[in-house]
Amino acid sequence: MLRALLGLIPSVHGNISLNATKIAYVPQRLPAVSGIPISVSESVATGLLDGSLNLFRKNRSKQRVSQVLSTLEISSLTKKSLSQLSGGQLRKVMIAKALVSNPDLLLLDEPTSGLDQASQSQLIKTLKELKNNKVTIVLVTHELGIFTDLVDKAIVLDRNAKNNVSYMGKLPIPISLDPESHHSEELKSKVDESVLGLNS
Amino acid sequence: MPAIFEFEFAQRALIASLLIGLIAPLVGTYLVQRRLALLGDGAGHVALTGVGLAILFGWAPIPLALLTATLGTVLIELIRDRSRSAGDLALALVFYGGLAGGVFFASLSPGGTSAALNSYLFGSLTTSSRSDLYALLAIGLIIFTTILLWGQNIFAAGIDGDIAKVQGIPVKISAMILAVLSALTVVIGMRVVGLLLVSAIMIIPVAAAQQITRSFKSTMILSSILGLTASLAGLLVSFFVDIPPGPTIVMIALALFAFMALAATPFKRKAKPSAPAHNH
Repeated sequence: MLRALLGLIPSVHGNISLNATKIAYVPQRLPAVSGIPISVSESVATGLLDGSLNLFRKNRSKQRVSQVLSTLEISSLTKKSLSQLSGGQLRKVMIAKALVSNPDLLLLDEPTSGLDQASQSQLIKTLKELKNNKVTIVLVTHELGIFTDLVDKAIVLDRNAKNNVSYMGKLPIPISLDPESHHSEELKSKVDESVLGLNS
Repeated sequence: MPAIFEFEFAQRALIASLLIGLIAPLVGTYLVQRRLALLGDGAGHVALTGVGLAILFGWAPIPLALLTATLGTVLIELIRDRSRSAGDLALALVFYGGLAGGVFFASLSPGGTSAALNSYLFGSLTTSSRSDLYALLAIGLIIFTTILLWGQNIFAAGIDGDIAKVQGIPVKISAMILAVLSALTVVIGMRVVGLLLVSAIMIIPVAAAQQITRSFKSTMILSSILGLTASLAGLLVSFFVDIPPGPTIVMIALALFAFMALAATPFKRKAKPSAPAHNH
């Protein structure tokens, strides 16, 4: 869906218009790290590029890169090669690369994948700050719960629902619509049944 | 400095070899990053058709080699952009067609022999004229300036094409620019290293450098130093032993690679990331 929003793949129906000047995107897949060594700072600095000729931008970019690495608390990785990082660290570097250009629209695909709980909380804190600074954030996730305080509008996609959308609104999702709650309700009734059966 | 460098032909060969030793690994670093190590080889083969045509018509070889190599690499890149497997096939066709075309056209020349091609296949110490050298220096300047102005965009497109597109980087144009840079590099190297081996000086120093480097920039710098070393040492050996400079330069580059790989082994063991259990 995010790839269609960004025009990387054609949309099947309708039109997409984006009202943003600086867009940043963090895909779900981690970058391939074999081959030529690439340092964390080099990788993050490429987030500043916009397709223009690159001259005289070095000092400014160095400062901005160290600033964003420090915000995400990964300054210690600055000089490491991408191939030396764990999956979670790579995810953070990708997020840093997206944030370095101060985007006004940020698209994230499963941003918490591979992050431990502390890193997830820290990412949500950073996203809240961005939101307060009027950055629009669109994210795709399977972990709705941890984004409850961040999200203004959630859209739950369901292949079997009308227009493929089963819910649109604030988080948390009403229990009756939450697919996970269905399971718990079902489980509860089964337990009740067996308990009642035992009782009777 | 050996006495041989009092001769103008030796000075020209020295300048041409230093130029290719410096520039080829710079372009090669981008090629290795994009897993296009064989693109330079394709460019070398197709440039041979240009040289064959130049021999046939009695024209200067550099412009025709430049033209055919550029057309060949751009064509490979266009096909590769549509389908990776078709790109592999296109590369193979260019290999065969380029070599066959060179020998075919050279054999049609008034002398009727392809022997004139030999010096272009494996390099020669004596073939660079003064005007050739100026042309090579101009091409080298174009490559260097392009890398300075556009290299970061090629680098970013090589890391992740989708992210680069979203940022506004013209990914396809960047790939074309890299293809053209490969063609230009091949033409610089064809006099000294030869068209069949020029791609080796683009790739081997990079493979050697990345044994110990941790960043793209340091890989570029070290591979250029290794390329310069191999070119200079290979040229000197070639002056004193009756062997074309191309093979000697490549053999020395391979020796440097073996040395770096061995020297780096203990560091690699140390630097290996721990098991991904600790995932943050």
